[in-house]
Amino acid sequence: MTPTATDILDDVLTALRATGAFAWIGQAGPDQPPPALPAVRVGLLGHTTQPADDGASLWHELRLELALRTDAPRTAAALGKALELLGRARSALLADPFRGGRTCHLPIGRATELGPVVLGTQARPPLCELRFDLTCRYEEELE
Amino acid sequence: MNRWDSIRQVSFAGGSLGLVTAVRVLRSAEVRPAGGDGDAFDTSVQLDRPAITVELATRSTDAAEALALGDAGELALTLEPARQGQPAREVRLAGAVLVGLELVYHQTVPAEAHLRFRIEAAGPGQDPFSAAEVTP
Repeated sequence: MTPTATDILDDVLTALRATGAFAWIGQAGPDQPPPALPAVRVGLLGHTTQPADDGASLWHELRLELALRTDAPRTAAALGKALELLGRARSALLADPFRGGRTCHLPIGRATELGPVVLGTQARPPLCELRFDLTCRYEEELE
Repeated sequence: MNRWDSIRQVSFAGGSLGLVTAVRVLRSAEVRPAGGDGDAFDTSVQLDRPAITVELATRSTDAAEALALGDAGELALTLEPARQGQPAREVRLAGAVLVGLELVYHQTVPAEAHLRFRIEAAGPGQDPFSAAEVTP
């Protein structure tokens, strides 16, 4: 990852922490259960680079996966709680789509884009897990 | 390199046109015909009657309904910057005249209005088109 990509990842984690809604936010491996609930696990899906249209810079696309996990005595309650936390997380991530000036809208896509939400398959009731992709795009000038 | 992202606002004759979805600005001029046989293969192209045509689509049909053909004024649009800290861009078209207005009322999707403006220079050497960066 480039230093800018690392900064963007830090900004994403900071935005999630600022919600105050999660007991744990981090980058644990996919098989490790989070130490506390509700939790958000941020994982790197990919980082692609392509030449920009001006020939003097590069366009970067950083794709992250966010897995939000919570629990409740009943499945329906866990899902309701997870959906409420999901709304707060997505609002927080879109509050500053430019990630503190690091990302920008490009011809290849928006500065920050959230993908559709899917139900996670790794969690069993009474746990509930929701997943979505987060894509951040930025431009870096070639030296 | 600066890029601009989306339409922030569009105004005509001081009034906002609201939910504008697209603006197309076409600057064009007719080519002056050759005067005689000797000019037929002249290497220089001379232009006549430069003019600007603007086609605009908006979902604010109420704002469009309030306009009348022949209404005139400045047409101005502001574009959002594509990155934080970059200035917005403002395009101004002086002396725009509304020459076409199409209102489309759909059954299942929002109504739309398509406006067409014609702009001509007020005099020789005058350009009604201008664009500049604006700070928020």
